[in-house]
Amino acid sequence: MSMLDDFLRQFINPYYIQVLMLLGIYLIAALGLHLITGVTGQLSFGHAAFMSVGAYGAALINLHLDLPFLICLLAGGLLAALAGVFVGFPSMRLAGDYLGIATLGFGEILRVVFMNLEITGGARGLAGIPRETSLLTIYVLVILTIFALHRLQNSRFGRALVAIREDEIAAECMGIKSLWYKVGAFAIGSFFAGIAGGLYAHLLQYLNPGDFGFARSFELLCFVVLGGLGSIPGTVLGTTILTLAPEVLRFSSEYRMMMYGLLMVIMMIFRPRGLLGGVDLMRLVKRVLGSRRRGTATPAG
Amino acid sequence: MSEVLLELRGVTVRFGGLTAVHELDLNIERGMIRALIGPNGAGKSTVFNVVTGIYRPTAGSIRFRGEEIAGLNPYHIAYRGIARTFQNIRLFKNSPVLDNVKVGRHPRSKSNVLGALFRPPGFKAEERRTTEASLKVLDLVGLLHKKDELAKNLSYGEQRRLEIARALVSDPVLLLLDEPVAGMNPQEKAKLMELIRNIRDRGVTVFLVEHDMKFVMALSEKITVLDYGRKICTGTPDEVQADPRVIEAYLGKEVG
Repeated sequence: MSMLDDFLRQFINPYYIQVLMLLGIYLIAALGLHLITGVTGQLSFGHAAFMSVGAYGAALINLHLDLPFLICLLAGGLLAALAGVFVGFPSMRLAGDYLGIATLGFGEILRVVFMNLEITGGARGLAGIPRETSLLTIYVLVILTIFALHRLQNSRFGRALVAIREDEIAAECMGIKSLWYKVGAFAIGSFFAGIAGGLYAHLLQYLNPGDFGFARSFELLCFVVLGGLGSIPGTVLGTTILTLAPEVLRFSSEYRMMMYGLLMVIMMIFRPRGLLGGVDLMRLVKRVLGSRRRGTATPAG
Repeated sequence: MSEVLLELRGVTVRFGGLTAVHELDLNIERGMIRALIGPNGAGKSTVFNVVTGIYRPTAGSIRFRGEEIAGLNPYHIAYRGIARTFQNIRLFKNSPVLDNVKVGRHPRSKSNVLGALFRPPGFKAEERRTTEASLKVLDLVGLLHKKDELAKNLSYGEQRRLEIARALVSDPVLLLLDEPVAGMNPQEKAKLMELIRNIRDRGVTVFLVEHDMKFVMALSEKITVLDYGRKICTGTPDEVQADPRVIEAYLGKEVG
């Protein structure tokens, strides 16, 4: 437990700290999905499954090998990335809905596997994981994730991913080996899901395969779609709204999935590209600043 | 006779029972403006798609600079120096104009995931070269002032020119233009004709498919006519226009 957490605990209700920590974890997972679905345009209904790979991976390595926490976390992320490559190569030949169904199937398979393995505790779940995750660790990793994704997107690699999303045939005719790039994006996105899973495991200290089912995958997809496909600030906004809203609207927690569904329908009708989809924040800021500057420069009267 | 850049021998493309291209022989000489014409459904775009690897030929050989490229994937062919535009414009619509062109630079740059993350010294230099090359071709096609617009907000004619810029930025040896003036007004057509000549003068061989006869006859040095997937004739614009088989293919046979 870090000093920052102890310090904050004196002022903030520990429950809220817990909510903030979960928010950070979902942010990392959602940002991974943002790369797959938002940037590269590949529909994934199995993102929570990659979280579970990271979660079980990191927890089991910690329990059995007793390695430093950050190493366990990284190993969990890499295992998830590896799973991403394995799932990616066969399924990335599919497009759109078909890919969605394939990833959905993969997610369910993995849930059942974790449910039946001896080492993961089966349906009883995996208990006794030490609590190592702190607010500071989570948000340092959130910032690192945003930084890494920002760099990836503003590069030859990132431009190729967007080109694949926009028109795969044209992208291939520009020299982009689309299958490799799609699997690459899938692996990197899964890596972040795995890191998020590792943090989750060492926060809740108990894992149950049911935590990473279709509902969680769909939730993550909602975070990305609500905020704006292809936009990092959009994903952060969408995740924050949808994670904090149920806390504010506690009475409605049973209707959560229903609200998500309704929200998605409304979004698809009014802003199909998400709240911040297609909005260039930097350009918006520049425009606002620019007009203000012009405003002050012109003498009144 | 100048060097043959692209050589098609006996190329056949069959889709199920339909033969789109039948045993086509075609030579594209270096430094030329070369055209492929023919009535609707003659198989012109299929020829482009088979040259750029989107389709695999059912039979025949395609040699580019002496090397067999039939059956290679589109991305391999792009690396070898063949760039193209599309009949039904295929831009990256939600990306800015400049980014569209930068993607075209893919075969002439190297940076990968690790480069993007850790940005070694070479990364910035390559990005700068990509940007410079992209701005240069945007200037050439007259779209420099639109570089920050989203591609989907450009006019039809501008989108066609953006596709040409995106193809040119890879410094191709051979440029394939699939109906470049479709939907353009006469002024735009005149400007595009000038642009294509300019591109040829820079040493790029141009091979185009076009429906606009006036445009093709004024621009190309050598024309091949295709009908029902078969080559009818090849010649200069004057020869082709005088060929009775071409007139028959376009206008039908005189009854009597």
